[in-house]
Amino acid sequence: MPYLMPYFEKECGCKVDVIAVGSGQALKLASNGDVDLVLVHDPASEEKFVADGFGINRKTFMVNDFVILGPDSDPAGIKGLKDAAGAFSKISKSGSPFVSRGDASGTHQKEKFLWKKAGMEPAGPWYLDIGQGMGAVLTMANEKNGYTICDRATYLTRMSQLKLKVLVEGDPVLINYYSAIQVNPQRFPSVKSALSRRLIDWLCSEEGQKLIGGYTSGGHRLFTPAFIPGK
Amino acid sequence: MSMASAYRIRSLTHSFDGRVVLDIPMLDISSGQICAFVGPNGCGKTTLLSILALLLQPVSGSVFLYGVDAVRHRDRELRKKVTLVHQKPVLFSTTVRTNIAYGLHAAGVPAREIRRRVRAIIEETRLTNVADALSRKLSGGEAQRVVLARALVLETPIVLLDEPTNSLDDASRPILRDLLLKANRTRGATIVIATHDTNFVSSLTERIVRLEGGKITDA
Amino acid sequence: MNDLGLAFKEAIRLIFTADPEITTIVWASLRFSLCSTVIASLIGIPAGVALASSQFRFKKLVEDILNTTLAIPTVVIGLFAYTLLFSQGPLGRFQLLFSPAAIIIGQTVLIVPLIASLACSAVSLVNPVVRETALTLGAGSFRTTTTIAAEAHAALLVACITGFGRVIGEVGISLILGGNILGYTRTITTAISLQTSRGEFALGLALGIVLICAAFIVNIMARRIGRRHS
Repeated sequence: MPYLMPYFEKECGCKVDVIAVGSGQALKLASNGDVDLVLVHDPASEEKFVADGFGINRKTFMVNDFVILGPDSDPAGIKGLKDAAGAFSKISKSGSPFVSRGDASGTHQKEKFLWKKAGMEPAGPWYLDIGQGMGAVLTMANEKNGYTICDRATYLTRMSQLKLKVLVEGDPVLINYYSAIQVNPQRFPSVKSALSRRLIDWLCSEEGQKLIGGYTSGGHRLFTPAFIPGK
Repeated sequence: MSMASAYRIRSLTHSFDGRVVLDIPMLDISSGQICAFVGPNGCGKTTLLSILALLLQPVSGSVFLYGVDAVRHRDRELRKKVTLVHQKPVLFSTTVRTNIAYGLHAAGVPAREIRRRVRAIIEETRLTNVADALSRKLSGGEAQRVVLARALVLETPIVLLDEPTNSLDDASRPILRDLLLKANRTRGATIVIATHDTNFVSSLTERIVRLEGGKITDA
Repeated sequence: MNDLGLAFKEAIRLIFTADPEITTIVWASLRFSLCSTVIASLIGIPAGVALASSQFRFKKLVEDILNTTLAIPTVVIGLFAYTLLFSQGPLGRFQLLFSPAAIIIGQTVLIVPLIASLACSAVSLVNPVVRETALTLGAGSFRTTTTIAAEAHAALLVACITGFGRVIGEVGISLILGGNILGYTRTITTAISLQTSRGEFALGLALGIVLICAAFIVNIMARRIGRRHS
C-alpha cells in the first residue's frame, strides 16, 4: 500500500488512509460502515459480505500465493511436497511446532481450510495459536524452529531476518486472491462511494496493474496483477 | 578499682545539635549498689542511661564497665551484662510469654530452663492470668509489668530502668520494688534507676543523685 | 450500542457458565502472577529489610535508584528480557522465550523493586525503640532484624499483595515475552488487548470484568490488613 497509494493519490488529488488489519477485521469494520472500501483476501467471507448487502463492486485485482515455511532441518519431512494438506498432516504427526495466526485473517482462513482438507482439527502443545498478525507469527516460528503458512510477499520482505525456508509451494490451493470491495452507499450513505469507485477502477486499470506487477522487494516480485475484465 | 565498681565514669560529655546535654566529670557506681538519678524532664537522665546501656556513644569521656573501656569496646559480650527498660517501652506483638522469653532465647538458654524462669517471673509479677494473651490486649499496668519481667528474667548483673513506674498502677509498685530488692540481695545486681518518682526510689535506696541540665547537682 | 449490550450479556454468560476458554486464560494469569509474586517476595522482602536496617555510605543513593526503577514501563522490561532470552541472545540456548517461564521471569523483575521498596518503607516505619529493645535484651544483629521485620509483618504482607496486583494486570511483559499462545501463555491481559482490537468484545469484556474483580479483591485485602494492624 505505501508503494501504490501515492500514485493514486497524485492522480485523483485525494488522500487515502490505510488501516492495516487482517481480512476478517477489515470486513467487520466495513460492515459497521467505519471505512469506505476494503482490500482483502478471503473469497468465502467476501462473497458473504456482498451477499449480505454490505459491499458492492467487488473486483479481484491481484494474486499471490501462500507458502509453507519451516526450519532447514525439516523434522516433519515436507520439503518439496506438492500437496499442501498432506504437508499439514505430516507436520501434525511429527509434533513439530506449528504457529497459527488464530485471527479471522485471510491467511488463517486458508490455514483452516487446509487442516479440514487434511481431515483433522489441529490440537495439542505443538499447535501454537497466537492470535496475532503475520509478523508476530514469523517471529515465533523462527524462534521455535517451527512451521507455518505465510503469504509469499510477507515472507520475502522478512526473509533476510529469518532462518525459515520455503518448504512447500505451488499447490493450486495455495493461491491467494486479493479483491477490492466498496462499502455499499445504500447501507451507509456517508461513505465516499465516488472516490472508492475511482480507486477500484484504478487498481484494475492498465497503469495500476502495471505498478502492481512492478513492485519488488529484494529482487523478488511480490504480487501478480490479475484483473480479468468481466470477473 | 576493679570488680568492686560496676561503672566508672570520667569526663563524660554528650551533646545533641550543638547543645550540651550531659557534663559529668566523675561518677562511680559500685557493684551491687542501687543508685537513682532524679531530676526534671530534659535533665539528661535518659541520655545517661543510653550511654550506660552501651546503646549510645558519648561525644567525649570514658565509661568503664567492670573495668573495661566500654566506649572503645562496645561489643555484644559487654552489652549482655546490662539490661535496659526504656522510658517508653515497646512490647513485641506476640504473647506475654514470648515477650518475656525473648532475651533468654537470644542468649541460647536451654528450653527447659527458659520455661522454668519465665513461669517463675510470671508468678512474681502477677501476670499468670494474661500469660498467653497478646501484648496489645493488655492494660497499661499489665504491659509495664511484662516489660519489667522481660528485662529482669535475664538476671543480668546490671539493670537500668528509665522511669519504670510510669504506667504502673499503685498495686504494682510494691511488686517492682520487691523484684528489684530481691535481685539486688540474692544475686548482687547493680541497679540504676532514672526517675522523677522520688517516693519510689526512697523506698529502695539512699544513693540518690540529682541531675539538672546534664550536670550532677547533688550526689 | 446494541452490539455492546449484546456483548455485555454474552460476557456475563461466559463468566457464569465458567466457559472453558475463560477459565484457562484466568488460571494462566493467576498461576504466572502468583509464581512471580512468590519469587519476587523471596528476593525483595529480605532485600528491602536489609536495606532499611543497614547503614552505609551510599544508602541514600541506593534508595533513590530503587525508587526510580519503579517507573520503568513494562514494555521496556519486556524488551530487555526479550533481548536476553531470544534465540540470538545470551540465554537463547535455554529456549525460554514465548513460554510461561519467560513471563514469570519478566514479571519477577518488574516487582522485585516494588516489593523491596515497600518492604524498606515498612521496616523504616517500625518504632526505633524495637531495635534498641531487641539489642538491650541481648539479640544479635540477625535476630534484631528478623524481630523488626516481624513487627512490620502486616505491611510486608501488603507489599506482597501490592506486587501481585501489579503483575496480574500488566500486559507489556506478558505479550512480548509470552506470545499469547492459546492454552499456554495467553493471559487475561494479552487476550483482552488482542481480542478487543479485533472487535470481538464478549471475551474481552468477560476477562475485563474478572480482572477488575481480582483487582478489587486484592485492594480490599491489602487495606484491611493494613488497617487491622496499625
